Amino acid sequence: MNELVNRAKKGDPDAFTELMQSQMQNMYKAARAILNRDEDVADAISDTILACWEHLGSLKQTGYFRTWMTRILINKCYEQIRKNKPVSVQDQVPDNGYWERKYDNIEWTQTLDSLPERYRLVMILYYVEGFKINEISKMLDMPKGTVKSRLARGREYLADSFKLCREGN
Amino acid sequence: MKKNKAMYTLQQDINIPDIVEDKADQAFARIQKEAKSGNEKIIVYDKKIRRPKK
Repeated sequence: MNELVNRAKKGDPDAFTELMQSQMQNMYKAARAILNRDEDVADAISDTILACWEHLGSLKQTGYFRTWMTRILINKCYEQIRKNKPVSVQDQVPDNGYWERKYDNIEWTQTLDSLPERYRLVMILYYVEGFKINEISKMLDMPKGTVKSRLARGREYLADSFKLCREGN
Repeated sequence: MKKNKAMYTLQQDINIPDIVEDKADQAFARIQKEAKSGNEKIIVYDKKIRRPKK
């Protein structure tokens, strides 16, 4: 990945495209942890791609590319929320927007949506993307203790929701 | 056990929706086009035109 970042920093659009395409799963999952509608996720990711290309020269340490890109993505997601607040914010209603989702991702979206919104992003960043607690803390401007407690509560929530599912069957 | 299954589900690869892929492809195409035409930077804001003082 570092080689692609270096080539992209020198203005190679093919390297940049390959680099960003390799991050699509991560970007989609992180954006979907914040935004409910795929249209908004699409706009946030598209804006992130353009912003990363525009500002890649300002990235000093190649090794921090994923952290830097994810921070930009999170900001773009919150911009989408500010633009379309009534429809896009994921409040406490986990089943908003199912009409537009593909059935083949239904298990993933149901698992994500079983978590309250405030736990989703930290759970995705830690357990899916593999960021460290201090990296998430910096990325979200959140104390490390808050990140840890949200991870703990998120884990409890997942355990409880699966227990309820099992009892319901 | 069930909690681990939930974690596994969150970690598995998913299909990126077409609308997300399409918009990303449009952004890549724009970058390719602008890079090939020699404009590395994409200006996304309008600059005010300053008129010279008389």
